[in-house]
Parts: sequence; structure tokens; C-alpha cells
Amino acid sequence: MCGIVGGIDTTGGTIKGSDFIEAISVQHDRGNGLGGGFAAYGIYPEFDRYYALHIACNNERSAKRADEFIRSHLYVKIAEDMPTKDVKNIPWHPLLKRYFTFPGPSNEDLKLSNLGPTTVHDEEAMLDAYMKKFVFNFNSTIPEAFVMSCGKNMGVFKGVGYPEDIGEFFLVDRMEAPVWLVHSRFPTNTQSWWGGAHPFSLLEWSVVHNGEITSYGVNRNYLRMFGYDCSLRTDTEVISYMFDLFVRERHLPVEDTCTVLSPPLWKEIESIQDKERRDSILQLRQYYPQALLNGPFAILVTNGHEMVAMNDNLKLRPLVGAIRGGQCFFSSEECSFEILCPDREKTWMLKGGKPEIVRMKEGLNVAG
Amino acid sequence: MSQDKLNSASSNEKELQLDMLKNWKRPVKYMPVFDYDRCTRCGLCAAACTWGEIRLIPEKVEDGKPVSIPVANRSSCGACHYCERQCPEEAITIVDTPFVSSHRYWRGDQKNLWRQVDPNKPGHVLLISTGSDSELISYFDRLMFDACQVTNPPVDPLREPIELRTYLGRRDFNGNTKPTLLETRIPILFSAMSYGSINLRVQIADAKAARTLGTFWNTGEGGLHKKLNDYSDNTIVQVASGRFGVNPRFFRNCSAVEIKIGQGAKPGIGGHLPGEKVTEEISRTRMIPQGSDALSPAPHHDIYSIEDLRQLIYAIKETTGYKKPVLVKVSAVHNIAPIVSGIARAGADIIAIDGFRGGTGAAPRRIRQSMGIPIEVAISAADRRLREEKIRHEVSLIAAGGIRNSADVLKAICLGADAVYIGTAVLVALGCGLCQRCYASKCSYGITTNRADLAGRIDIDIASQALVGLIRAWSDEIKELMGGMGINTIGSLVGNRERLRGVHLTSEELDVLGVKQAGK
Repeated sequence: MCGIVGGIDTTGGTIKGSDFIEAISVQHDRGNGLGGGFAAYGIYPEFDRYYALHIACNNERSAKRADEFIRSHLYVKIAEDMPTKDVKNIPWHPLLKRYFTFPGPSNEDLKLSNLGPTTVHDEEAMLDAYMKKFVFNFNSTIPEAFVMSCGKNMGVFKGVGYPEDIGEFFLVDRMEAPVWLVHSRFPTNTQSWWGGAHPFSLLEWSVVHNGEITSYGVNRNYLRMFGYDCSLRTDTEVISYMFDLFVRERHLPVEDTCTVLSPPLWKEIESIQDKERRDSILQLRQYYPQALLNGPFAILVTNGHEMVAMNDNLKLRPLVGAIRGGQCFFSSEECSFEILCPDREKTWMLKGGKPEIVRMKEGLNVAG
Repeated sequence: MSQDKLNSASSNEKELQLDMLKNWKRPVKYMPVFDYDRCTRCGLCAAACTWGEIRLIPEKVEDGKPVSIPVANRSSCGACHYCERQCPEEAITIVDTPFVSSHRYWRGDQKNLWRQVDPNKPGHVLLISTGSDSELISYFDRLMFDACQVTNPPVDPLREPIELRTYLGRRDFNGNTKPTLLETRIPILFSAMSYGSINLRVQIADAKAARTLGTFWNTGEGGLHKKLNDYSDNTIVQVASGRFGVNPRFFRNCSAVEIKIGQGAKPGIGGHLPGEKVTEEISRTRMIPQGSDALSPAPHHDIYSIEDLRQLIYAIKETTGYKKPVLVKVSAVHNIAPIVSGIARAGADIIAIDGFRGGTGAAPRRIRQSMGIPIEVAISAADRRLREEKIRHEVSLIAAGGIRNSADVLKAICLGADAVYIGTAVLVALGCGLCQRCYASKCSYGITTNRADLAGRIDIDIASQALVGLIRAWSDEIKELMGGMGINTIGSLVGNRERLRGVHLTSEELDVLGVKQAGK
């Protein structure tokens, strides 16, 4: 059991972090204090050209090695300690660092050698591919340190504790952002550690997840073939990597990616009248059986421009949506909406296997 | 004492003879025992037994008619149990009479050695049929499935859909050609059994069942009989080293073509169908003269390396207009991982690996018992190598050889197979008593024989219904197992070793299988 909350403002406005802290705190019993976290988008507008690295290191030694590693592979614009506040319920925390970086060693021209075998078409794709490889190398070579997030103009704030305490610790209550993901963890698969808290993030994609991915072994094997190391000891990370692989690298539309991850039953596919659509969905399911997510899940995924809310086919995890003005919210429990949008116009239960996709540009166009 | 004296000493009573030739008389292992109180002297058992084990001897005359009583010859029973099952009075029991030897180490081999030196027959290579019955451990038996408890819910197959449909073939992501995939409603295919090794009635039952179930049957290397043309949507035809029956009709009336490089029971060994078994129909289907031996050479004489295989694969693809997937079947051998990788790169769409437990119509006993490796480790090694080389998603793998039940099917899938082939299980489903003497062509059940009188013992409809029943039962069991694991589509189990744990295995064995120790 876990609790998830997400929100997106399509009008260009922002939503307060303090609202989300309260919204997840009313789902207190969905977590057990072994993990909580926030992803906020659009929080570093003044550095939006730079990849914002949020790093956690267990001790000074690993922090020093992490710093050397980062500086030898990236140009560092700013390096600083993450602003935090002492909180009684967070008795220990790793050293938390924030870097605003750009690919290429310091004081040298960009060196984009050692790119993976991926086909890169433009400069941005090359930079992203470099950063992705950097993050996997970092996580596998620097002991006792991991990257929390590495996207532009966004950040993940997470750790071991109840999310309301984690939020206070990271000063989330002082932030405002147009897109939020929040998670409260009740770990059942692996021991809790700071790196195992949600959201999981790679480049601009972040995910929060309630459930258990029983197809994890298959998904991990598939991702490994394309250079994604699953090193964070939990099943959820595969979801963020799948979105990165299909949407960012393979340029599959988000809708098709959702179909790949949670396709309709074969019988449902056969009953689709429109032949073109039927063939396209059939092909997606035939081609990518290893990417299909099995097991109970409710997930929220976002890249800062669009947010996907999705349930497993059998709807084995709760997920509700709400709309107020140009804002859209998703949550494990409706009680969070009493905080976020007591004056909402619409509340609806998501259907199993039918993703909702909310886009900044298009405004609200959801089934609910 | 000399032979003469012994003879003369006893010559007063009855002439006693010692005979050295009897040194090699084979000890009886199995024999029918008759309950003469139940026996009605109907004589059915003697007619049923094709092995010459039961003879009828006159007992008495009743109402002017002679009555005969069945007795065991104690010469040739192989425990096929056909007489026992056919006896209307249930008056027969087959008993196992263990061979008593004081030497434990030699116990098993003494008899076999005697057979090889028997002066009544010239020294010969021991033949045997079906898959290896070696007492080596089965890895399947030492793997346990995971199940959902508390943290995620099991899926109830009676209430929720659980999907077994599988697509086999090459997923080509480069280029615009739409791949042709084999759609099977269940990840279980009927393995290759040639016309010749089994008779046409069994093949028709096989094909009918495959059509009803939405899966595939495989012709084996004996060509495609014209009566089976209609089953083309469910037929995989096989091209083996003998190239029997390979003609345009054969390529037209199939869904896929399998190149057989090897067979688990006899890796590196060819085949031999003796001329006396090449009947008119078999000769037509195989395209060889009636009565001539059908020899399958050990290698394909046009395949001496991987690049030659590539040529054959593409020759077949050209022939079939790239519309039919090409399978390559190999025996599970030590170097299976790089072999499979090479086959994948040579253009095969589906690769079938046959473990050492895989069945055969006839193989040298020494080959069957001591060549090749278990399918569990072979499929795992192949799956891992293809993943390491980043091409696992492009081809499909089929595991064969030693799949005895639905749990074996699912374990093979968790170890990396997309689907499995079953062969021996098909025969057992038709009643086969596993006496391991298919090569003799005297099968009392009428399965592995082409003698018309014996083949008539197979009722095609009943046989195909049995196969349909078997696979439906296994499907239900697989759904129960998957439901317990909280997985509702079979694709999520292909290579999913997370759902397996090992017991009683060394760390090295666990490592090769890629499975964690139970409790971890």
C-alpha cells in the first residue's frame, strides 16, 4: 500500500507545495514512515538551460568522490548544499547536494564521446543521451551515493520518513509549481533507503507508483538491453525508464506508450471496429510484450508538460481524478481533494487500463 | 567335472543339458501375472500383446470346444501395460521383478552388456526410444514458484481474464517489412513426430487437436501427407537432413518451416527408418522408393557452418515469400548460448532448443543417456546470452525436451522460453505406457507403428479429444499458477526468474539458472 497524489495546472498558474504536503498527510495511513517524496516542475526557471542534479551521499567521502565525478564529466554552473530544515522526525539524512550542470568536462569543450549505441538525431537528444549515461555511470560507480533527479527546471525531494516530514525537511512548503507528484511509501518489496523512496526520475520523466510490478524481472531484462541499469533496488524505477525509452528515445506518442505498458485484453483488441486502430494496438502489444506492466498498480507519470494517470487492467489499486478550473488532480483517495480542491467541479474514478493524459497545451480534455 | 560326465550322470532320469548360450539369456524384468479365478479364457490378452509375451495353451475341453489359458512367456514383456488395461476381467497385473545382482555398481549394466554379446544375435548397438530416463536430477523439480501474499492480490482465474495468447517470431524494428508472427492461443506446441515414426492416424489426431486448440503441430522430418493439407493454418513443416517430402505442396500447406539441426535425445546423430517400414504411403510422402531405407545423415550435407545455415534459412524465406517464419531446432549442448546467438543472427525467427530428455523414435542408448544437457539450463543460458547481446526481443525461443506437466511448462517459460514443445506428453495422453520400444514398430497401442492392424487401434476422434482435454487442463492449471503469482498475461513471465526460487541447488547451479535461493 502506498499513497500517491499529483496535480497539474494547465492555465500557466502554480499550485502551492504546502497544499500538497497537507493533501498527502491526510492519507497518513497509506504510508508507514519509510518513504516520502515530491517532484516539482518549473522550480528553477532562472537555470532552465541546465540539468539540475539532486544528489544524495551517505558520507563526506562519497560526497567528495561524487563531486569529483560530476566535475570530471560535466560543466558545473552552480554547486550547493540542498536547502533543508532540521525536523524532529528525520533523525538522520544523507548529505544532499544540488548541481546545475551541462554535459562536457569543466573548462573544456563539450566531449560527447562515449555516447551509447542509441541513434541521436539532434543536439538536444545527444545531450539527453549523455546525461542518461552519466546518471547510470554515477549510480554504479560512486558507492553510497545516488542521483535523485537530473531533469531541467525540475527536482525531486525524497527520503525516508513520512511525506509531511520530508516536505518540511526540504522546505517544500515554500515552493510553488505548476506540476507536482507526491508519494507516501509503505514498502513491501525491499528495505527502505533514501534512494528507494519515490518519485523516481530520469531526465524530465518522474513517476510515483502504488502497487507491485510482478513483471519486474521481464521489464528489467528488457530495459537492460537498451542501457538502463536498474540499480535502485525497487520495481518502480522501470516505469520511468520505460517512458524515457519509448517517448524520449523512440518518439512513440504518450498514448501509444500507455498502450504498450497497459494494453487492452486480446479480446478487447479484436473487438475494436476501426481496422487501423485495431492493427496499431495489436502491433504494439505483439511487439513489446516485455514492456507490459503486470500486477496491481496505480501510477502517475509526468514530464512537466503532460501528466499520465494509469491503472492496471484489473483496477487493483485506487486512483481518482478531480478537476477545478484549469487544474487537474489525481489521488489514491478522494480525501486529498478536500485539501487541494474542495470546490472541484468534477470527481471521477479512473477505469482499469484506461489512462488519462492531461496536457499543458491542450488544457483539460479528460474522460472524467 | 567335464560336460560329458555331467550329462551321463544325469542321463538315467531325464536328459539334463547345460547350455553356454543360456549365459546370455536375458533375465525377465517385467511379466504379466494372471489371476486365473477371474480369467474367462477369452484370449484377448494374447491378441492384444504385440510383443509375443503371452501365449495360449490348451487347458481343457468344455462343451466340445477347446479352452486355452494365457501364460506368460517370460521373454519379452516391456511393461507397456496394454494387456493389463484391455483385459475385460481385470485379471492381469504386470509385475516388476527386479534383477538381482550382488554387485550394486554393475546392476544396471549387466543385462545390457549381455544383450550386446548374445551369440544368437550379432553384437549390436543398443537402441532405445523416448527421452532419457536417466536418474540425473530434474531442475524443474527443484524450482518453486512465487505467490502473492498481502502486498499484492492474487488474480482469481475464475473471475478475471488470464491471457495465454502468444506471438512467436521475429520482431524486426528496422526496415518496414511487417513481420509475420505465429499466433498461438496457448504457449504449448506439439513437437515434431514424423510420419513413419508415428502413423498417419496419430498425426491426424495431432493436427485436429492443434486446430481446435489454436496451436501448432509439427510434421517432423517425414514430409506432409496430402491428407493433412487442410490443416495448413496449424502446421509447422520440418526440413531435416534427409529433406524428405520437401516439395512445393509442403511449403504451401504450412504456417511455418522448421529446420531441424538436432534432436535432444540424439544430438549429432542422424536417423534411420528401415526399408521394411517404408510403405507405399510413406514412400510417397517422403518421396523415396518404397522399401528403401530412409536415412537422415547426421549433418545436413549443405550445412557445415553457421553461414550455410543462413543460406538455407533465406532459401526457405525466398521460397515462401517471406510470409512464413523459419524455426531452427537444435539440441541442447554445452555451447548452446553462442550457438543460439549465431542462429538468431543467421536470420531464424524462432529457435527451438531440445533438451536431453527429449523423445525419439529410435536412438542409440548410449547417446540418449549421456549426450546433451538439460533444457532448464540450456534455455536459461540461451535467454541470458541473447539479452546480453541485446537481441532477445527480436527472436522467440521454444523449450523442448522433458516437459511433463503444466508446472514444467511455466517453469521453462520463467527461465526464458516464449513457448514449449511437447512430444512425449502427447503420446502419453494417447495411452502410451512408455515401454521405450517405439523403434520396434510393434507398439501395442498402435501409436508408433505403421502396421495397419495395429494403427487401427487408434480412434482419431477419441485421440484428438484426449489431446484437446490435456491442453485445456494444462491451460487451466497454468492460469491457476499465474493467478497465484498475480500475473494475468503470459508474456510477463517470459524470462521472469524473479518468480522462481531454487531449493537443493548449488550456488553454481543457481547462477546458471539465474534463479535465487529460496528464502532470498
